Amino acid sequence: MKRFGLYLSLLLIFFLILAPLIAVKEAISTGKIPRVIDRLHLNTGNTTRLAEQDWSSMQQLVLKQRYDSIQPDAVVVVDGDSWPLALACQSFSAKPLKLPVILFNHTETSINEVITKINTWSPRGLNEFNGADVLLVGQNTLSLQNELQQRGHNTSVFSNPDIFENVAAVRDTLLKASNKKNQAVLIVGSDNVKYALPAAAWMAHRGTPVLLVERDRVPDATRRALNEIDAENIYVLAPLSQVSNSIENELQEWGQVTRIGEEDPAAHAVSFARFYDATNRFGWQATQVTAEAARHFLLGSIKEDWRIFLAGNQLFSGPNFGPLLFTSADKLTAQTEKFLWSTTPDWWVTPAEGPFNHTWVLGGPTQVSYAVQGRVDFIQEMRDYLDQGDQGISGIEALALVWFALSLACAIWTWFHLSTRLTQVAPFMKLSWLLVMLVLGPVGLWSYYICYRGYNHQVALGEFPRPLWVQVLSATLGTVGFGMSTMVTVAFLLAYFGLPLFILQGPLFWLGSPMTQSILWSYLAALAVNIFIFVPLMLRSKEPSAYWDTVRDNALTVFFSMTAISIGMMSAMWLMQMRGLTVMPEEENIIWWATVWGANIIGLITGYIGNWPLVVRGRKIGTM
Amino acid sequence: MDFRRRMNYIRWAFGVVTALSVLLLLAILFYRPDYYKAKDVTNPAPVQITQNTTRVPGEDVFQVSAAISQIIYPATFADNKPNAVILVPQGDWRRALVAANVIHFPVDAPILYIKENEIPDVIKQEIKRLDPGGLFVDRNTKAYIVGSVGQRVKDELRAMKINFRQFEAANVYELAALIDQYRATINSDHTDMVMIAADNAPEFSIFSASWTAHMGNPTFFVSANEVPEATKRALKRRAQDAFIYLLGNEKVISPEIAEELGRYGHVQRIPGKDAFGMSTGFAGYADVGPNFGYWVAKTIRMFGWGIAEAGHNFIFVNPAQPEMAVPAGILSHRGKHGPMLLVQDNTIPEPVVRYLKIVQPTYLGSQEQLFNFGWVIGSPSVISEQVQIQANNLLQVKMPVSKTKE
Repeated sequence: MKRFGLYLSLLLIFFLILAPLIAVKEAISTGKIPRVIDRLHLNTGNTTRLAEQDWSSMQQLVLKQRYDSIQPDAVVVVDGDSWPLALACQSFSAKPLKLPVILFNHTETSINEVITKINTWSPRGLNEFNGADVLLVGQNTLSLQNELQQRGHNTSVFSNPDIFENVAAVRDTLLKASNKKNQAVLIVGSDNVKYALPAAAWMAHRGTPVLLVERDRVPDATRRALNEIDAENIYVLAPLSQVSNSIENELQEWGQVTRIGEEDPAAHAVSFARFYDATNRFGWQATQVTAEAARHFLLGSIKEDWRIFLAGNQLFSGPNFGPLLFTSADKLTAQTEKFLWSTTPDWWVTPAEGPFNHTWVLGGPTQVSYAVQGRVDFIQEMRDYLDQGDQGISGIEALALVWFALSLACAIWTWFHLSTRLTQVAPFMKLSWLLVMLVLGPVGLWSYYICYRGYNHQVALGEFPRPLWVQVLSATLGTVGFGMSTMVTVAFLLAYFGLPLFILQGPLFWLGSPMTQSILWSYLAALAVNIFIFVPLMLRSKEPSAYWDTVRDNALTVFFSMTAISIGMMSAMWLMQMRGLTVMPEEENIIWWATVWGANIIGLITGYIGNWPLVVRGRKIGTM
Repeated sequence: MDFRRRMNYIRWAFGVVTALSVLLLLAILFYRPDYYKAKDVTNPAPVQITQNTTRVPGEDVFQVSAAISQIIYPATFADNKPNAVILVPQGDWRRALVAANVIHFPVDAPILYIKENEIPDVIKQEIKRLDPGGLFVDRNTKAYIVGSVGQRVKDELRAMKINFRQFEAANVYELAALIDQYRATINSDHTDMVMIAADNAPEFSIFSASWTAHMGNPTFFVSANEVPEATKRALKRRAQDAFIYLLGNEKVISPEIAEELGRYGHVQRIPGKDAFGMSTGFAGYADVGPNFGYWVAKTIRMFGWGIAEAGHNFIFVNPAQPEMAVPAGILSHRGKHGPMLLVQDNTIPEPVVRYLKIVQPTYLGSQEQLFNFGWVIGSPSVISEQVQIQANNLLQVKMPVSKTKE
């Protein structure tokens, strides 16, 4: 009997320490995945995949979606072998010009494609370009000139062999054509396209022009361009490895310089997505400050050809727009993941309220894996503000974790204290105190202090003369220790293995409800454990009477005491799980434990009230 | 003393377990779970997408139901899988609409169509892909069968190690009442807000599936000239008078029926002259007010989408194919929650166009934009490409007027 009681309490102690950790285990276990995943399409609730494998078919798809129904005034064809030009031309797609930008390289099909595409749009030509309806940018586009002129198109050509000159010329044309005061200019390093690409989405949306610098040199063409038209704000989108500090200082000459840059490309894209300069509303400001806004993201693999990004980027040149992000092909890059978590909207009244984010994935599953897409979809799913769903840590859960840590600390301290200073306390009393710490945390520690303060160590076993209110507290905790821990354990196990559910008819249908069942069984278990095991064991040293006599004498008392505790604990658990939270929590979520630990405190209060008359009438002892 | 020694063991064991759990917690800080185990995925034919719409493809109801489930549950790790699947024998749209009442939390399961005597391959594959986790409030049940099925279906499920619960009733009215009772059992309470649909007019009620999936309010059926006994019984089961919303104009649900329903609660009719108008009327409808108060607390009544502003999502379905439409209700359960709107295969009817123009977003700014989004359910033979493009144009952000058109 004694041994059984000992093992059972050991089991309860271990359980209360380890079971909350199952939430952690659930959070990190990812489950079984079939080897091959069969799908009929590759889109999900919060993502759409632009499933084209190569940049030229991506370009066809996107241009068709974006421009076929709106007839642009002119078309920009840009050398598909020169990223600085292709990037610079993205600004043509923004207001007020709204021109499609076609990447072009030498293959024959590409010439035909370009010409067919232009013909389907039949652009009228823009006065700003002296009536030209096709802008050819970059040397290789010259090969199109004859063909286009033969078909009655009026072309305007930018084919300076110096790339810096050509980029500057594009800016010049852009500014003149859009008749804009030049408020801002983007500066990118000429060395690595990955650090320049995040600018593309912004340029296609807002038309900010770009200029190129080398790492340690401002080329003459760029210098001239900056001299000609002043820029009030210069945004250097490059980390130190791309544009040095001395260049940053040199640029001060022409305007207010701000650097946005990270050495890690994914982090670099994220920092630009977060960036905002209120003076001219430059930057996406994709932060919690603008949590009321919906976000579209363009997500591609960092390893991919830059052309696939710029081809896809055209989708973001019109009514849909948003930051460009990088990931690695088969794992969502940590920086991007963190950013996506931070932009996920919370809902307050109903998940239909929005805003709703949407991520466009560039390329097929070999380019950005389906697993990455699934992860992005999950992260971007709306969450209840108070609950934060699976894997999210809400404020409540954070507090619950702190509470759990405190409970553990309380239990450890109490055990040391009991072992070294209060050795005269009965063994099962000690175990009971340990369990009290685990179910009540700091409140348990406070009770412990109240119960034993001021008594020197020579006080005999079970002879602590206390004021009545402390006697009641002590008596209540006597039931709480084993009772509450048993209830929590049984409730957890029932939920873990699937709660029973019976569909009943009539007004008592709720008896078949899983919550009622859980309450019923955990209550009965706690009652049984207390009546038949722990109360006789705790009283054994006090009243050396026969086992069944002890059981018979105390059953009713335990029943009253236990019921008083359960009333508070169970109704609090019910209210919190069924009414307080929008979705009933599963036992594998920390928030389930939050409701349990909260309910335990309520149970202590009602238990205290219920135990008062028992102690007053001498049915329960509060001096142990 | 033997006992003292045991207490000593306990002391040590306690210390060890505590130390272990602290270590475990610390280790977890440095652990990044592998959410990327889904390596190989089939590469299906691309579907028609536009800037603000995505088509959910499929030639028949089986494929479409699987395709819809694939939108909501990527199933690349445990937390983006459903708890269960809802298997509905194909052949009666009313059965599907009733099954939509199972979708909502805590069940969290998609509707998949099966044949009465067989689970089609595409659905079997989908169940395998989803690998449902089991519903913790119902003995970790992994499948719900709504209606009667042959023994073979059950055997196939057992072979797949899918434990199931079957809802079986004499008719669809009873079935609706049974599933309502099931939900009430989970919640220990019947929802006071219910919808009433005519059993012969799918176009007036299929769009309620999205609301049912979103909020868990059931739909019960009435026939042309009477309120069936099962429906009466279900209405009476509420703890108090129900709030009853009629899905149908006076031709579909007669004033006499409406009056009879008045015995069981407060009856209101969703606005709309025809079915298309009613789908938009329902999308804009919101009824809020008291439900139940008890001195120190209150629960409120909040029924209807009430969407009259930008920043929302819509599910476009063709009512000519009611069974194809109903599973799409789950698109309002997760992801882009939003009402279902009715369109025809080759045109968007005038009331729907008018509504979409009301909720169309205007351009706000680079940092603070709201977008609308639409799902198009079925292959182009169900809803044509033109309709999708037209829907896209009605959903997209209205850019400021400048010299060029947009």
